[in-house]
Amino acid sequence: MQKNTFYLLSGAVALILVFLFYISVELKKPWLVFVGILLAVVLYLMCRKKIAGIAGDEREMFIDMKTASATLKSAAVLYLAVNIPLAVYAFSFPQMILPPPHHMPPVTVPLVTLGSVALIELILLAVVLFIYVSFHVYYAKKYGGDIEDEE
Amino acid sequence: MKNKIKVYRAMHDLTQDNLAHALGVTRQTILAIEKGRYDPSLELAFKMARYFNTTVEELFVYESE
Repeated sequence: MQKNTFYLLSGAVALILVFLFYISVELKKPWLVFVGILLAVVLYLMCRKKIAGIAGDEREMFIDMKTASATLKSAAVLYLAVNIPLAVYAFSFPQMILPPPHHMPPVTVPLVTLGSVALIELILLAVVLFIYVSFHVYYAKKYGGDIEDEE
Repeated sequence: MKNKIKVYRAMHDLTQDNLAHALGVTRQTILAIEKGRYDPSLELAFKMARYFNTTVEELFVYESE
């Protein structure tokens, strides 16, 4: 399989996932998109093995490694900075962590609230992807990606 | 780290593409090494030295910062 075919296939799968998300929202069946994501990951990994030259040479792997390391550190800081303050809310309502006393009614979290938390996490993931791309561009330039070609 | 790859490449009348192909790397990598932007792995350094029939010390010069 050629690289371009792989990227086209990835784009098509991404579109199918968006459609599945829409269907899941319409039918109120979140497991649809859950199964879709799992299948997409399996398909991605299977196809990736069949592509010639996707691994790149040692410089590209070095850039990938540096990018991954820097992204991981930034993502950890970002997730801690956002999620620890959010966790304050969980500890503000002890019933959410400990079993409620008998005289108190259990606190129920509306599904909409859970969905909002998921949206925050998805936004964070999008920011992490942006950070990854930025670091990749930075390291690719640092290790020779932008040099003028003399030949 | 400085290197004499460009000189050796000229001596052997090789293009960056030829050398990259022979060593199993991309042309960008050869270009980055020649410009001193990227230090190759020990394995690639030895491959280059063997390819040019010389030593690693001859091809690469270590300069402390």
